[in-house]
Amino acid sequence: MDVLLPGIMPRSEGLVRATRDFERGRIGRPELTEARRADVLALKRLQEGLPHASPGMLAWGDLLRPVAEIIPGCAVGGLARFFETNSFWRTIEFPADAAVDASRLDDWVSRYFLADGLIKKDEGLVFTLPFPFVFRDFCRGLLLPQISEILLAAAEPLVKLPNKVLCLFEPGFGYRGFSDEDRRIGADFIARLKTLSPTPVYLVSAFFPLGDDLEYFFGLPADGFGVDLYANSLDDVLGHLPGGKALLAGVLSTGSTRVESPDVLRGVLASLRDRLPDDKIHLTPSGPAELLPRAVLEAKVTNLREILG
Amino acid sequence: MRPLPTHEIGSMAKPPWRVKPFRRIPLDEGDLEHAREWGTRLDIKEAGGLLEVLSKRDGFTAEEKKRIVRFSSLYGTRLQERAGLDLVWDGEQHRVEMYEYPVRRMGGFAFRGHVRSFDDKYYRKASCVEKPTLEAPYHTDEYRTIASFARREVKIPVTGAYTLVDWSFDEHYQSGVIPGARDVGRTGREARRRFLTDVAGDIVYPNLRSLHEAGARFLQIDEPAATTKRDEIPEFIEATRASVGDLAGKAFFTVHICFSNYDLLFPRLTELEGVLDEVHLEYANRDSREAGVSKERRVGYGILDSLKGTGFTVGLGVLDVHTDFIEPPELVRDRILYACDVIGDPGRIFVAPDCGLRTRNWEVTFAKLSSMVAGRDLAAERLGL
Repeated sequence: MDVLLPGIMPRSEGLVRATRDFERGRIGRPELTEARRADVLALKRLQEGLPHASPGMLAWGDLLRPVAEIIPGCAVGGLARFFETNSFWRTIEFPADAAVDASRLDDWVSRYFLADGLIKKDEGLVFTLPFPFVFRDFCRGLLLPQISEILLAAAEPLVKLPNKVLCLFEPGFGYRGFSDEDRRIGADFIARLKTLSPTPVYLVSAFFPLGDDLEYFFGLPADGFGVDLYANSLDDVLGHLPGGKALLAGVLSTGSTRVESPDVLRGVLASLRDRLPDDKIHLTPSGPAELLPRAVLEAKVTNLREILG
Repeated sequence: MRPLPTHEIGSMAKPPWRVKPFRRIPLDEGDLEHAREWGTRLDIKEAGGLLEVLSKRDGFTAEEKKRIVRFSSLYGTRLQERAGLDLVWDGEQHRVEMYEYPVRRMGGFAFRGHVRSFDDKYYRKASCVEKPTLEAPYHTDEYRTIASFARREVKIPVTGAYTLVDWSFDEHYQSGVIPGARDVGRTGREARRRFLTDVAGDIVYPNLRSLHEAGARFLQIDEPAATTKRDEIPEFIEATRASVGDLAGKAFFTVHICFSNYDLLFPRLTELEGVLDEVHLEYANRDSREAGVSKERRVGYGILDSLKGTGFTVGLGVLDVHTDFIEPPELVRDRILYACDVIGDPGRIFVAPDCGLRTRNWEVTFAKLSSMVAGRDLAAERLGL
């Protein structure tokens, strides 16, 4: 049983200030880089001892934007609300013949997944990419099969690195309503990803009760499943989780800054341990961690780790 | 008021001489020139008093800062009057912005840090840590100040309960929610309702009542978050009803909603007939810039079909607030004429920008608002009003 932090981490108040100052011309790039470096190191300290640590993804505009940098001809477009939150992603316009330029991948991995080389390639890390469905929500010009091809090409160098897990983030389950064809493409995408390497692939949902998507979601060929436990009951989740699969249990609320009560967390952990082996339990935020201020996330993670002993 | 009344929606930019003293940045000659030039353009007799205060340039006392805010409020109000608006206010010159300003004046909230909105833009987000309380209404003095020098009817915006709740964290009401519990969805939803009920009844209603008692006749409830969560329209409606309470019918109530999926509001929005008078939405942002009154030209105004059968006055956004493009009067005219045609009654149309103009400088804001009024006049003439 461990703590796992998928997705983009919140920036510290220092990095918030630095990015603002940089944007307004008050500091230069070296100062911004230094602020980001300090933040990555602070995140490493927070996660010290975890088998797979988050690299922070602190340079990411949102979960889709970096993908545009490995595809020639993309244009970053307007803002679109990110599901039912008060945050926004930018839409990306893709050319009809969009394809990943493989020559860009090494730099891309180093910059966005290894914090500009601050993190060594062989460290235990959790990487995150968007699932094709959420990718489609914020892109213009591509159909789901093309998106799958792009994401497979982007994921390949990541899953071939040693000692990694890959999370695929998809908040649309229980919310969007996917067609049978969508569902087939989604399943095929994970199955093909699994053929690239033995790196575990986890599918992470958020925000909504899985509802009518419960069967489909847990039937996908991922190695584990992330569920928001502030929107779903453990009974529903454990009743559908296939044997041998991991659960990324969203016990740290990203909708509240309240640090979870140790008693409540111990109760949830006991319920999980009754039904799952320890190595199949990963404790996570209930949604994107960057929806919390950084100090709050740190307090929640520290609290949870103390409970785990 | 004239037919097809015009009003601003929320914020305007603050002049540099209003901003810098609070950031302890010394004023330069350009800042003083801004005060001088706009004082002349807006025919502000008291401009000499402002320049006298500003001549100090740095190290302003609390009393001097208070005077600067009052001057800024006067300038903002005069700008709207000079542009020709029928309902005016000062464009948020007293406030930091629409979330942090009210939350800092309530009990029960604590700011927890910055959260990213998009790119490298963030907002400071508070958390409800105990039942919200109101020590004193926080917009009434502002209203009295504006009303003391306004030459037109004054309209005051108040951030709505749903938006205050949706933009805040909740450590208090949600404290009993247990992750993974069988009833986690229900308890979370009930906690959210209690939060909304308390903010509506104990924060927003007393503010609206105080404004009404002070003489305000036009009150705007700002709810940009109203359609953020598709399953919470009933909660938004209930919170609005509780916010207005027994003031319904005693003042003219507007709700302002923007940049979201308005389809979610219908048909339940009609439950607020008799509570709200005007429903103002953003339209121009989604519309074409071509003049004309066909459905194809007025692509941004489709939701009017849903408002047609209601009893609401339609607050019609005719200016895109995210661009310096100055909408020609003819374009404004055609947007109004199209709306009048769909709604079938010009008496149900009020004309306004899509949202607050705070991201535009005063030059652009003045040009846009003036053009809006000119477009309104063209439409009124065409309709024989």
